[in-house]
Amino acid sequence: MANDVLVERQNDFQLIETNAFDGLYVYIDREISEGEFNIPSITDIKESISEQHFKIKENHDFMHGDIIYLNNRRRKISGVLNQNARQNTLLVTEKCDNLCSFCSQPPNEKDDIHLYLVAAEAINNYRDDTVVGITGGEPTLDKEKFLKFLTLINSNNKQTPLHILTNGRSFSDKEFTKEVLKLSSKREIVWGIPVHGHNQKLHDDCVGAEGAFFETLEGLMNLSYAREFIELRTVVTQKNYKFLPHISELITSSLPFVATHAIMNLEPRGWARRNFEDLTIPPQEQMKYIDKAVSLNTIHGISSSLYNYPLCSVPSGLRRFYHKSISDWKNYYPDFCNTCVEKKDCGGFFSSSIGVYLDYSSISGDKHETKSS
Amino acid sequence: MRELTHLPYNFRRLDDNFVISNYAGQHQYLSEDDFTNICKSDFEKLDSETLSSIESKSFVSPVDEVELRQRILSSKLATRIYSSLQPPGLFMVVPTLRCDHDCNYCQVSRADYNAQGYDLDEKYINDIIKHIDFFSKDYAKVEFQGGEPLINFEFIKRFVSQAKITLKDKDVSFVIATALGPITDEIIEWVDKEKIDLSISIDGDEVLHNTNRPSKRINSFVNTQHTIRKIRSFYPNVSLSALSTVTRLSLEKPQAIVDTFLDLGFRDMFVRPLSPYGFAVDTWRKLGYSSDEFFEFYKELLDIIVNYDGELIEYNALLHLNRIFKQSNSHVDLKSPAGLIFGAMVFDYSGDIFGSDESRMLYKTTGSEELILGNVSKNPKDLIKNKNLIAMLKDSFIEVNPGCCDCAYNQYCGADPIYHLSAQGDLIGDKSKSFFCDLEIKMFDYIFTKYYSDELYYRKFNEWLMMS
Repeated sequence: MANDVLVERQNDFQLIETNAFDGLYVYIDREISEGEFNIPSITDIKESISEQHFKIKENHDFMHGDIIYLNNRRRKISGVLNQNARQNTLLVTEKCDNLCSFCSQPPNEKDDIHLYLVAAEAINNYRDDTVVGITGGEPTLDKEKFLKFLTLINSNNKQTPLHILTNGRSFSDKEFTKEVLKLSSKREIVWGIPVHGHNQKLHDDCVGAEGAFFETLEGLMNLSYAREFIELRTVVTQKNYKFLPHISELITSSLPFVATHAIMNLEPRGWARRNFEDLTIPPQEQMKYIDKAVSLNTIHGISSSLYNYPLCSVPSGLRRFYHKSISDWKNYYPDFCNTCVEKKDCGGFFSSSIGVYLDYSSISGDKHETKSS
Repeated sequence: MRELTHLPYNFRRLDDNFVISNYAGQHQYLSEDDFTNICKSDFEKLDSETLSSIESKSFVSPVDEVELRQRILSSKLATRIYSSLQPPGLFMVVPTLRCDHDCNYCQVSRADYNAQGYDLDEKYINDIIKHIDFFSKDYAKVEFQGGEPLINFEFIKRFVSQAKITLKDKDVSFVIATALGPITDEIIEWVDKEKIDLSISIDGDEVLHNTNRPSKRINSFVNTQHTIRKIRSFYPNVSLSALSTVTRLSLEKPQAIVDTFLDLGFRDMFVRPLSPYGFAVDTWRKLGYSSDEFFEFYKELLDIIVNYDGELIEYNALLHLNRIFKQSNSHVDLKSPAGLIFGAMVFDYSGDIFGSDESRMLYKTTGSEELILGNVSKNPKDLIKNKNLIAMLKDSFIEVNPGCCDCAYNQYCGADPIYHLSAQGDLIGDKSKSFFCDLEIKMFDYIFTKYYSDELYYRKFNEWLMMS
């Protein structure tokens, strides 16, 4: 079963006891009684035999109305959509037509229909005033399933805003794009779409798929005609860091409808971990090119964001673009951060970078001493 | 090396350098050697930085990518034309043509202070608002023009309160373009309360200002100075912007103009050359200048501003920069197709509707009925089908205008049919004899040259672009 990858957020709890079957539940806080739900509810206090309940080993931070998934065979309860999380992301497939060497969530051919269904059910039963992220794999690879997913989440009149990570290739199909836009006309959607190179050669090389650049750019143009909100994403590696200003030139000349350009440091997970030596480039070597790219974006009226960087690697002129982005469940701060006065503003490092994946040379020691004094 | 091929672009020589530009609205500043190498397809002689840039911007393309790059260029062109034909955001209303000033350069858009029959009738208020509602999307800027609009303050007051009711679901802002003559404390208080912006004129120091803008009723400069100081002290939330119209008398006084703006607490200014509408030959001789003379002045002025150690923006330069870098469509004179109706609508005191302020002025001098595109008493729907509007727009697509189609600045400029109609009697005109074209080319030449060859200008211009 692929249930472990239902959500990106790793908040699994060890199940000790339950009277409920496997499946999706709304968590009920016994002290709050209101709310009507279309899926079964569950609580963690055993009051009556008929009521579904669970008992887990650790303390949890579930709130009334959270969506959780119960798995008896694995003795596990997972948070699916949680009000305490900074962001909620649902994984709808593990299949992908890009094979990025830095993929943090490598593709897998496993059947995925239940992932789409569970994601739709979770969204339909959760509050609709916060953004839910949709990720993969490539969520739009199977066009039929993606359209079905959009239809399902339209069925109860909730307009949950979505942030959808897609490589955009499916949108080179105009008919599909029209269908998607028709089904999402009442919904706020941010499309997070990657462009890793300024030309076909570099982009296709980064994503390990011939023809990807062509289809992604066509897709971007098709989405732009409908004035969709697009966040362009570039993951920085050895291959493309020197070309960041040229990627900005491509954006500002060809894709000026892009609302924001996210420049992202490598996350040492999945294939990025396997290919780390060939991919990693210390942040301080990236900054010269990032600075130029961000300036070009800014004077052309496109905003920029820097993700996944430790704050100390970002020079002062670029700090207004900095995002404390590494999720609270997957970041950590090495010991030398304890004396840093800027720690509270810093996203730290990926916990997956502990060991050989952490580049200590990217952090200037004396800077830390002066900062903390 | 991958095989590269050319995509269409225009070029222009700037001394020892070249600027090339394409339908994506992108440009590249090149040395003569680089330009020659590109023309000869000697791509291997370019450094990798330049090569990657011209490839990113679709000036050249690997042969296997040409189809995609062509689609990018046509998509960009289509998007730009589409966005030029979006509903207008600017609505100019002329409450009266009467004025308390006798400005030398304003001969046609004014009437005497006590003249009869030059006020916009209040019975049209609902019709005008109906038009604004019909043509605007979610945003509208209403600018009261004159004459001196404040002479008919009662109209403005009634208009604003009605517009705030009828257009309550839209984001509507109001500006009064005024020379401040009739302003009273009561008016300032109302302006403050209703969050109305004021757009005023400051032509220079007292002598220069009052020579350009004489008034039989007041000392225009002293009144302007006094009013601005009062507003800044007691009504700090009222937004003030000011423009300076350049006449022959201004040419010697760039420093005095900047000093006056600074002295009155402005952090930005708009320096505007005369628009040569309806000038008699002898008046133009007295007030006018050649484009070279204007540019000598403008360079000196910009130099003073750029070297000023503090925040001070010159908006004429900035709007050209915004055209170049952001493909901004907000300036009605620099649009393709032209900004007639789809940039600005003018409701004249008579109830007639014009496509631009210049159309209104040209109508005053020539009486050409073709310039009237509608009337507030008619159905707004009739206006978009007006055959004269379509004829004027049709001739203003810069990509097919002779003299513009091969210009390196065409994606940043406009073909301005009304100017050419006025100056040459033809919507297209001969661009080689056009004062408008001459000034714009010099402006773009200067901006590109300074941006790429003068470190200080590069820094300042970027600061301005980042602020706007």
